[in-house]
Amino acid sequence: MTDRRRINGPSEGTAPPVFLTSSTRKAITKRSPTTLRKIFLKTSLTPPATGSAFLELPTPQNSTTPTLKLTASVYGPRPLPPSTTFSPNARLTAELKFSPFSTPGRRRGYVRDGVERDLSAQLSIALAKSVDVGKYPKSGIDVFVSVLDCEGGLGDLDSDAGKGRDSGKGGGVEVGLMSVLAGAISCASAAIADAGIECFDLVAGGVAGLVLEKPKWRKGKKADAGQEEEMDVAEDGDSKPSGKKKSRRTLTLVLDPSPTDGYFIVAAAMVAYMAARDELTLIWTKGSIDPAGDGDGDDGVEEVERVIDGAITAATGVRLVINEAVKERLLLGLKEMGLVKGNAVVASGDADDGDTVMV
Amino acid sequence: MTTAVPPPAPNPLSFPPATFQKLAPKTFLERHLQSTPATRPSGRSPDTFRTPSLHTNSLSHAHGSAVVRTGDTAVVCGVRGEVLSLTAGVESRVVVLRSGEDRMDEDGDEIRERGLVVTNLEMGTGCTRDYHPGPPTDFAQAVTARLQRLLLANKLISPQSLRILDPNTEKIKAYWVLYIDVVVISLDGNVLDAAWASILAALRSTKLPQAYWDLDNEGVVCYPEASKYKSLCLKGLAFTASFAVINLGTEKGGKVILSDPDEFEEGVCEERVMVCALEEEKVGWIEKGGGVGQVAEVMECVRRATERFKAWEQLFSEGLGSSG
Repeated sequence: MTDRRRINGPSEGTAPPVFLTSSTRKAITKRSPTTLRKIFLKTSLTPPATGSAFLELPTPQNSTTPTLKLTASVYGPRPLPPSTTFSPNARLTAELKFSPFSTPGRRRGYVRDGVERDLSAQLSIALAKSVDVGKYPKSGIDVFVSVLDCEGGLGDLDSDAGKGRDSGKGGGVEVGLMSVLAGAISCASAAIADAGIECFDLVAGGVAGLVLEKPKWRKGKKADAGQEEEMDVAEDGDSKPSGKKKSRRTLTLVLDPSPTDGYFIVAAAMVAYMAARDELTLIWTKGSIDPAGDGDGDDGVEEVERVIDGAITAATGVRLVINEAVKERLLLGLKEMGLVKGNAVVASGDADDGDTVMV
Repeated sequence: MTTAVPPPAPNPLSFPPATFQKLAPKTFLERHLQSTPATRPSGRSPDTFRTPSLHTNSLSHAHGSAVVRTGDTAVVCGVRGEVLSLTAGVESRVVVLRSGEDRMDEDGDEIRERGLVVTNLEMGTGCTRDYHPGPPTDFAQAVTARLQRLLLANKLISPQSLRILDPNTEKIKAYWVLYIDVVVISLDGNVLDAAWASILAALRSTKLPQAYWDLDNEGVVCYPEASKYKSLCLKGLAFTASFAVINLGTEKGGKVILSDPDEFEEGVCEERVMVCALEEEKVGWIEKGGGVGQVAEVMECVRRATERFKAWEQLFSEGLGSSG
């Protein structure tokens, strides 16, 4: 079906470029597992919106490495359309959309697909509990998030065409969508605060993963391309049954894992965390958390706790950034208000800007 | 006998400016323009454009990208190339002559006929208050159509850089299709100028991988090395400048042309002029509608557009020079 409201490409269809299998080496970020990436967060970059924020993970030294960039804008509280039924609370809706050029491989469509709808629903759940919705009866609060650039690792969204060049994934669980959602939650929460909507707390998103430690002698090969990496993993898997009884695999907790890091992630968790109230508004885990699967229940629980605690630690770190961004905005606003008063006295000659008399 | 105290004489109705602006937008703008010197509500004089800013190549998955901000209007443009393979039946009609003998007038047709440039404008990003989820609005479609038309009419992209050849026979086996997507982050009027500038900057920063027709695979294969990426071949520059015209009436100063109108001014003024200025002070496109006017007005717009062209040109040489 062609979309008659947009300009479509050639009717024969086009394919994303296919690359020769490359040996380009991904520069693996040398972050310690407990270090979070720096976050650039700035509010009020969309002046027409009631509140807005822009979040970016700054590009590392290698400029071709993808990073996450997204904007959030908030409108409201504004009256709901008259056709809607009475609602004693504010209704918060969230929409998340990937830009057509934001993902590796194939272009994204213009119409929201299932993944985007799922992320939108999770985003609105994560945010709704932080807003004091009882304060705004009969109104709607609309949150829009557009993802401009992401790191890949989106699971089936990744088309194989981009594999050679773009995705330096190390196999295992894909954390791309998790970091997009975590970023969207943090960014949207900052935008809600920027809009001056009453909140119980700010929400921060955090991701953590349990990473399979590689045998020592393989460590040097970490920088290899994705396929090699997967082969290694397959070998690991094969060798597992024999060694399982004596030694269990060692899992390292990595905070804020990136799809470009090349880790083999066994399990990952994303949380939306309100640090001041110590409450979680959203938990999302992926991957097999109980590795042995031999009824040794304690292990599983421990790992769940471990990975979720890790995600909370990451979210607490992100929270500090949100605090700073909101504080910066608040101070700027106070300063501006002071300036406005000063200007009014000095520049009272510009009568047109003062009160205007209507007869 | 006590007579009721007459109520105090009512003060003349007075509003803060923001309320006045909402109640009587047209009067509000007129009062501003009647002051000396004429000032717009934003503090600009009628012939002042907003200062633009430009960043290129900030996105990693696009082949070329640019962020343009003029005042409170901000747009992001990403260009992405995909491959259109010509199936055996649909051989290319344009036979590549030896280089240099390609006739110029065939160039535009190739891009137009095959639809090798696909421009779209996405405004459903919460960029403005009146956003409703769903398909693009009429306004977004209209701007998209104008952008696409401008791009084709100015013949900026040379089709040579979009052709993918069979290395042995020098026949065209496939084309690059450029998907140009403009995402409006923040909208405060005059989205056309910003979107156009972002498209141009993104195209100039676009680097496509070097591709060739692989006989064995019967398909197009690209070299992954970053050093083999090639820039597009672009001809010249062109910049649009938009204006809004308001008629204050003959006794109050006649018509006032507002350069680079913002959202509020666009809402009030009905008459619009758009001029696309080319290099060497040439004009590539003029559109005017919504009012009765004289040629002098259009000439004034052209004069301002050529000045604006210089400002953009300056910005482009700085911005693209530094980002490499």
